[in-house]
Amino acid sequence: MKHIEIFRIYYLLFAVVSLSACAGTGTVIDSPIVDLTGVKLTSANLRRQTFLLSFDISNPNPFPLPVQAVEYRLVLDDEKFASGETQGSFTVPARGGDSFAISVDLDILSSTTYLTSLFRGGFGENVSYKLQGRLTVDIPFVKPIPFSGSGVINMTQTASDEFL
Amino acid sequence: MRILIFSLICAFLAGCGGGPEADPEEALRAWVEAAEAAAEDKDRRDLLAMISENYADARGNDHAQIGNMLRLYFLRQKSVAFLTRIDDIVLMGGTAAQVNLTVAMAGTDASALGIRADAYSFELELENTDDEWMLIGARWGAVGRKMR
Repeated sequence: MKHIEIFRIYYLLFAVVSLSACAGTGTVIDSPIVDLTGVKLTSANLRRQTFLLSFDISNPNPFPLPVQAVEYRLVLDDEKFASGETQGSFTVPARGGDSFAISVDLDILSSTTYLTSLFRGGFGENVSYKLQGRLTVDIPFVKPIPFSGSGVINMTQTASDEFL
Repeated sequence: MRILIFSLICAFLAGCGGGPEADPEEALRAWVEAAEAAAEDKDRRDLLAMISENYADARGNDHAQIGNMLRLYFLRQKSVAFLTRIDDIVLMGGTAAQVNLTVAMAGTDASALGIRADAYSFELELENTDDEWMLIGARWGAVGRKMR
């Protein structure tokens, strides 16, 4: 029995040495593509504004991604808009897509930023966005998968007209 | 005479090969070792053959979905080693068993591969059909966390 244990330790050491000696390769999992498709104001008062952020996600991998949590940071027009982590339970099919939404409570009206004036002005402009985050997937041994994306979103089309 | 020879051969074969059944616990340990070897050798077909067509788990995975999930581990270009420890084997009537495992992945490049080196606990449900143990269900979770 002891013999087997020693053999295992040698085997593992050999495996570790072999791995470190190999030429470089990429990660096993390709990052999914995540696009912001909507920023919708669902309720608002002077102290708190609730937005619904909608996303499309596509999975380039040949295996499904069961998403457990989404960690995100969203920048609109070079200003931080929202960040956080939300629990999720959806599976993005292999080489397929899905969509998900995150509800965020903010207090942007208390600040005097460009975003505040943008929202007060009634969402009349296209706004550039940058999105970064990580997906925690329910697959053993898989690290959170990073994603990032950028583009332009038309606030007029997506935001509620009832804002203030 | 022919019948006698045939009977002797049958008796001999029964005495050698078919005799007392292999210890189920040993068979289950061998099953785990075979699964570990298949995973390390990236032998997806061998591994899938050890999973019952009736496989189902609490996450909603069936045989096909587990097979898809396993693709991930076989896409890697480098080999990794699994360090497997059998924590417990519970036999239920000789045809069903639960095997509790702790599995860690060894490899310095695990992080670069997008794989974390944490240990996971697995609770495997196996069924013996036609003298062959097959995986019919599983629960898992990172060590110290809730399994499901």
